[in-house]
Amino acid sequence: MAEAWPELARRRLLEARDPRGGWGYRVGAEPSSEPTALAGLALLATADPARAEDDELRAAARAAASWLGARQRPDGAVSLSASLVEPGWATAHALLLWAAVGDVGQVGDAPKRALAWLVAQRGKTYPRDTENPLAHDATIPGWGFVAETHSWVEPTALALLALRRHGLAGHARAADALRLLRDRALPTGGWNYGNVSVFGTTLRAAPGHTGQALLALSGLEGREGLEPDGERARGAVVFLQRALPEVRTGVSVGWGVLGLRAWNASSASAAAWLSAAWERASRRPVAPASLALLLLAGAPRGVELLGGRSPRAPEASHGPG
Amino acid sequence: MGPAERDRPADEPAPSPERPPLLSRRAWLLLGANVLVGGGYAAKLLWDRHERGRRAEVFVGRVPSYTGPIADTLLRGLASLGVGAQAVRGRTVLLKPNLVEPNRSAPHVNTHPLVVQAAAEVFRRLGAREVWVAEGPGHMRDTELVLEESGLGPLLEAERLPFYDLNHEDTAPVPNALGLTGLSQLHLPRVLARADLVVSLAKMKTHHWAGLTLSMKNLFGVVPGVAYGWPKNVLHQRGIGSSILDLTATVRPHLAIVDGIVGMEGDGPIMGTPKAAGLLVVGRNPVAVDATCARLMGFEPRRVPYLAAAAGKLGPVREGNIAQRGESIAPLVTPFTIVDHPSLRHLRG
Repeated sequence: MAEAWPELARRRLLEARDPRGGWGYRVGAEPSSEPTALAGLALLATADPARAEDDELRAAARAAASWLGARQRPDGAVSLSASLVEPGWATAHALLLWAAVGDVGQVGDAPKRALAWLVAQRGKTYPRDTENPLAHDATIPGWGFVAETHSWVEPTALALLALRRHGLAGHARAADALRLLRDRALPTGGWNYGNVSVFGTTLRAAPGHTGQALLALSGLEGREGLEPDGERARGAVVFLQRALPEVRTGVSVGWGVLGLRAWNASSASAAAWLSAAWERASRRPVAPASLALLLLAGAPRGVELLGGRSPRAPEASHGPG
Repeated sequence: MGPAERDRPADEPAPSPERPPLLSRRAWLLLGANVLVGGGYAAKLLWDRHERGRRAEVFVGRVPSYTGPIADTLLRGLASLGVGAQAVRGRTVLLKPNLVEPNRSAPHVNTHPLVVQAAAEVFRRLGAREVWVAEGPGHMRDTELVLEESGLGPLLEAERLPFYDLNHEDTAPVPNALGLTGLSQLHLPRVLARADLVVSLAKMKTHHWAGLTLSMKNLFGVVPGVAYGWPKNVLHQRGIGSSILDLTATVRPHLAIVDGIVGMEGDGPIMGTPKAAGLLVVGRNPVAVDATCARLMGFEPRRVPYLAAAAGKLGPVREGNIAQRGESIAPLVTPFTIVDHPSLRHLRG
């Protein structure tokens, strides 16, 4: 019997690990925090707790968590790589893996220091200006990719997910993230990198960012003091269901399906999208982050390990295959 | 730079790219360890110090549609600029198209795949050892999606053209040649330094912040997103104009080709409308190429702030300092509309 694609993808991901530890954006590239964290999460998400053979996966995830610990700067941020020390946007990714590994002793107080750094980060804001051709509320402090830059959807969504995984869903900065993501939702449905409209023209949505924002907002509906996100989510779900059948790339399909799953809006088609994306990926050089996202999107624990959805809202069954 | 400097007459002829760059031991020592990491940049800077003449040649070719003779026109353009097999043979050529967003319904957002294909064909015909395509889309983490939706991905596969995702490639710090952004160094993808010839393969578009996006602004795409974020926000914070100038001076593309067969007017660079101009513009100096494109689009280049600032420093902008090859400009001027906003009215005077 032919192996299911997740088995093949998992093996490919393991083989793509860099001899220096961690994963790069491609095989042979310098290991980086984002693909390393996503790979670790994907291996954990697909490991069966009852299978001793999967110890290799758990060990690789723990090694990834340690590798990320070694990237931590004195100020608590996790550097992107050994050579790109300054951008700290992958700190959120490291926090997600550390939460998933669970063995805090392995990385000591690294998560605590990383969380302190993360909540202290504030994207650059701008006062309201009626002449400004940008439509979004630039006064909301979310997170940027780089210090002293404006806030965007991806780093803000990932920061919110990391805060939620570490029990800080009620933190004031989590509320900032919610405000920002709600403000940046496109009236036509979905999210892009974070610009709603410019000069009166609504910009286009993107599947990946839409999936990230949906994941970050999932499970929060009805929480005390939080505005329900049902309408935004419905628009985003419609966008993804229209867009994803035409998309075959791992990053977009992966985040997109994760977003749908987080809102119980996935369907049997999602399994076919993931399978098709794997089929495409299998014919190309390994892109670890992309492969990891496909595995996370197909694994029952993927949404949970990435910080999405409330535990009180169990997911309907829709695994791959 | 003051107006007096910008108006200085052109006095340095552009050297022929047939003369490969040579780097003296003293230059290596002066340029320091950072440049040793990305040694190719050093070579380019030294070469370009001579290349940075205030006179330049620019070729304008007519190609009415994407089914037209793109490769032949490019070949004719390069020949008219003195760029032949001698300049290309055995070299690695990196084509940097403008791929901003994926959108099958708006192909005028990106450099047309057939222009990329034609450019690759031309450099292969001229004996290039390898032709690479490289880009770091400004708005998208999923570069693969941009490739797929733009139609370039399948074409790269069919033509066996290697692609480098500049947003996620390994980087090396290099000195910022101008420093107008206040950044002393720029982290740029190492693959840029490995290429012998870097070609900015831009799209002819209006831009709602910068005025115009052509071969110089196209260089935003070489800046890695992992280091500078999406949408390359560090550059916006530091000033788009300053960033364009810093990147042009630091990357120093050897050739600039602008796809103006169907450009974009109005709310560019992504939400504007198609504008059929039927043009290909080619040159060795990106400032001269962009100034020529501006004229073809109906703009006075000196009203575009970054072109005014580049004039006389990075290349010629004055019409008299640009030797026209191919078609004449005047009969081909096709006025492009721009967004009607106070921040852009200076473009029209």
